[in-house]
Amino acid sequence: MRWVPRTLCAIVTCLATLQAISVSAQQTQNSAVHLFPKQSVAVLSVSEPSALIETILEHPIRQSVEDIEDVKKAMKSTQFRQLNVARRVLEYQLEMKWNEAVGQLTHHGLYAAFDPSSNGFAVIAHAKNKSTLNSLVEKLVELMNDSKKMGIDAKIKKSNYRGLTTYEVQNAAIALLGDKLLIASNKKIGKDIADRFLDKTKDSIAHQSHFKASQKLLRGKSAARLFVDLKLLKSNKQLAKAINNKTENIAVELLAGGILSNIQKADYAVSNLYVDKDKLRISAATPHNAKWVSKPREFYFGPKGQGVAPNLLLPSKQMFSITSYRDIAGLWLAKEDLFEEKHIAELAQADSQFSTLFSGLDFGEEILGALKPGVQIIGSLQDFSKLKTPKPDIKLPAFAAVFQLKDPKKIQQRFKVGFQSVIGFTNIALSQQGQPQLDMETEKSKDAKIVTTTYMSDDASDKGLINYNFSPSVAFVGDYFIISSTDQLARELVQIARKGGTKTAKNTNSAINIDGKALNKILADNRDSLVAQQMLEEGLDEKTAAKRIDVFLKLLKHAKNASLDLQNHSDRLELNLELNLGDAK
Amino acid sequence: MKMDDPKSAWKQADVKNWTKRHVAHLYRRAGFAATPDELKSGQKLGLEKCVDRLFNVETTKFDSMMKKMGATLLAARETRSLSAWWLYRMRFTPDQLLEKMTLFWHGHFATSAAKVNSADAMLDQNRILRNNALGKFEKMVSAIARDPAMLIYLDSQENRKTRPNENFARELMELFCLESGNYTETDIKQMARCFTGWEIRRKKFRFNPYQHDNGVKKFLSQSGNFGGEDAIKIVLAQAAAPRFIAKKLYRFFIADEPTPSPEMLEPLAQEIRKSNFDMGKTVRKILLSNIFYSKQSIGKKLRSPVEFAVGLKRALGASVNLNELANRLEQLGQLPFYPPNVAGWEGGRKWINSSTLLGRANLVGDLVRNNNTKWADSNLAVWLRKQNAARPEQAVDSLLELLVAVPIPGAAKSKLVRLAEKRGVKSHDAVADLIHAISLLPEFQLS
Repeated sequence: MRWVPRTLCAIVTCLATLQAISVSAQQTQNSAVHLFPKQSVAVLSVSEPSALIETILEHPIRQSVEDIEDVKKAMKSTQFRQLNVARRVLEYQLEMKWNEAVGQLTHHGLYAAFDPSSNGFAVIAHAKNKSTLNSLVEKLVELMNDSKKMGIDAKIKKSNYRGLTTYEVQNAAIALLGDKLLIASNKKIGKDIADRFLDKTKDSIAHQSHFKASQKLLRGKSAARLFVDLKLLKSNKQLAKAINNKTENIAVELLAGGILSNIQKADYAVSNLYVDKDKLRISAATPHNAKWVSKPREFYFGPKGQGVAPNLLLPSKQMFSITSYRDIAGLWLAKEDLFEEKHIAELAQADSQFSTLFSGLDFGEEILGALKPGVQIIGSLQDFSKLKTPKPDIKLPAFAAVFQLKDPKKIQQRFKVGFQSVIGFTNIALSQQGQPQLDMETEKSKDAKIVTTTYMSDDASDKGLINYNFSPSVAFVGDYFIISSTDQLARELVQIARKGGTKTAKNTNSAINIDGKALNKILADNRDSLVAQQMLEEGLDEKTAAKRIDVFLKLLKHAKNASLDLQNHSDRLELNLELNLGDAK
Repeated sequence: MKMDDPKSAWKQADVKNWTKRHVAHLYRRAGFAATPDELKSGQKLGLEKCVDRLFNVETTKFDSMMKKMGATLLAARETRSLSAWWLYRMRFTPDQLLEKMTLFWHGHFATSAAKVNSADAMLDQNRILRNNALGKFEKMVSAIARDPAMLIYLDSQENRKTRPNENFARELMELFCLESGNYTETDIKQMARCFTGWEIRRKKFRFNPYQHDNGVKKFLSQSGNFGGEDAIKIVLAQAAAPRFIAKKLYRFFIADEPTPSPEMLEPLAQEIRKSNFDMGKTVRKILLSNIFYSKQSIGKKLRSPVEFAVGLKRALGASVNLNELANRLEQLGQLPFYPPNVAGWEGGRKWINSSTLLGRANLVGDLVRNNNTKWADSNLAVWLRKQNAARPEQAVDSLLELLVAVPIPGAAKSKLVRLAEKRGVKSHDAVADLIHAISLLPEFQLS
């Protein structure tokens, strides 16, 4: 398990710190967005930044984050101490807490845009009112001048532009636009925005039709919104080439081929951040038209773009599940149009090997072609007390892939024989390595057939092997074809398949779910292995390594579950990421 | 004192002025390096008690933790991570002497995981070496003769009476017990018959009586229906056996070169024979001897890559990513569990060439400057302050005493002091630069 807890910590932390902000969405009408240049490639609007900061600082997860050793170390660093001193000086000068000052300065929101024509970005803080803004800015300027006296050369220069009070700090420009504070990375974009404020011209990004259309794409109140002009982005040749190129990786094509196809045609994308007490959701959308999808990528959305992910077979101890509409046979047969030349040769070789395994049947047309579009991948906790073999020292979840067959009666036997061949080859390899081999059995009932395997062990030295996490099995029930890493999961999925599974939501092309509780359980079960890994990777003593792992596990307990789904509507493609926080114990 | 007289060379040393430098020498040879605390306490203890301390260490808790860590590696069948596992053990074990001796026997009974390709077999062999490292040599040879890793490595999984496999018999005499010149090809062929029926099945040793040659074997002036155990006894009864072991121990503990005369080794060989090949007693004699603390020994060995890296980490209280360290050691020519061939690492001057010398300097630089290195005392400046070395000259003296085996030329020391004065010794980076500068001294490579 070579994954790095620190990385996961960082992800969880970032996501968690954004959560639980019950604030209303920004209003684009008459907002600072009306001042940004029409050719802005990206526009970010945050309605209440102070609420976001408060949530971060007050959230219970903060303590867990502060327990992380690297965070502790950073908080003890000279830079952090200097930052704290600067904060106190700032608060003294402003005569209020820094977060209160941020609240007043961004009372009506914080906006930012990047304009490629001036190669500059601008930030606009919309303050509570003009007098508050003037007072805050005066105090800040005074503070900067005092810093100059103390030998810190802030180089701030006050001037005037068409009657507006402005400041210059190095290349950046600051201007007071009524109750708004503009900070521009260069004078060109600064002047452009100031002119628009003074002249009240209606040529801002907010007046552009594609921007207006983007506002209708994702509805509802959001804490923050990001608009990206894809058409402008794609005018960059390198980026356009990257989007239009053939894919190098089959996994990337399966996961994102359709999205890439859509981005090739869509003019803009918009993303919203929704937050409430226990939840964080990020939605991203682009306009969509089924006709935009090229024929080779029909495998992704299905004919006329109406493909829907199959019903989920959810086991009782589900750790994660993926359900997706994908016509794998379609992808395989269109491989020449989808992948780079060098990968086609590799796929052709794989095609030949798989055909051998399935008694000479054509892998693309006859094997993959026997599957209905749609695939599920399921991960579930195992009940190790029920194992017939010794218990493994490193405990892994069980995995399964679930397909549906077009003509079960015709193909079932071929798949069964194919599985037997795989087990036969595996046993030869295991035997060469002196490892226990797999024993195969077949169970039949009136509507189901399960072929299971079990590791044979009669040797005390094999105790604890990672192999004992596996008892590869296949099952056939109705039109379902289940390939499972364990017989337990195969049997459970057969029971669920008999009832038809859980229906996926309308328009769902793909959905991924991760259960925080199960993830916590599997990591806690493997605590000793994780500690050993830390000891070797960091050269730490056992106590320190154990402490690190425990802090990580404690942090992860805040993640209740996470989901990602791709919705395929007639007018838009929508990607939703949701993280539910709470006690996942 | 020049140690020309073998009798006085092996007599118990009478070190009049037992200094920290003596303790550092003892720990560099009998372990990987002393920590500053061990230097202080070792000086107070004096020679005999300091050696006693190396032989009487409680390791139950540590062993249990290492066993657990080993089980994790075995569960995942991670052969490559075994090196990191052992480096961890060398760095943190309270029983430095036992671990150093285990490394010695690993070089003696060299077996490479690259060929054996079985983490559990390699770990089992490592356990055999450790369990017998300071015990009776005969017991260890018997265990090695049945060790699956060794027999797989020597292609001796099968040994049938119709076609006796000569590999183990040859190495038993040439590399493990006697050295070439003390046996004939006929001895090998005859002795190989003693080990017929000794097989490895599913990575386990078994004796197959149906494949054992029950005929009379004649070798090394002995004749009879001998089995494998008898063969080992006959080999160890040869006069050359204790001399060979004495020579190898001399090279490991005393000096890489010159090769000692037979007369010089004789008292040690006699001790080996007298103690019935008790390695603990033999090593104790070496560590207490006059010659061990003489100019013929101090600074007369080149540090092996493992001694170099583990020693530095231990002395400075540093912890690093051990998988990465293992990769670096491979580049420097010594990756534990992966000796180059059945003769083990040649060692001595072979450790050093232009590439490995640069690699060693870079290793030290990376270790002391890498942000990911963890320090027992938060950073090197704090660690140095704890040694009461707050002033530049004190810092240089303290570091040289701990890290360098022999006094360095005055000019070199002056340069180091100037560097310490210029950069100060109050920041981690400054101390790191000072240590890196010390590591560039030729004397730093000596043990």
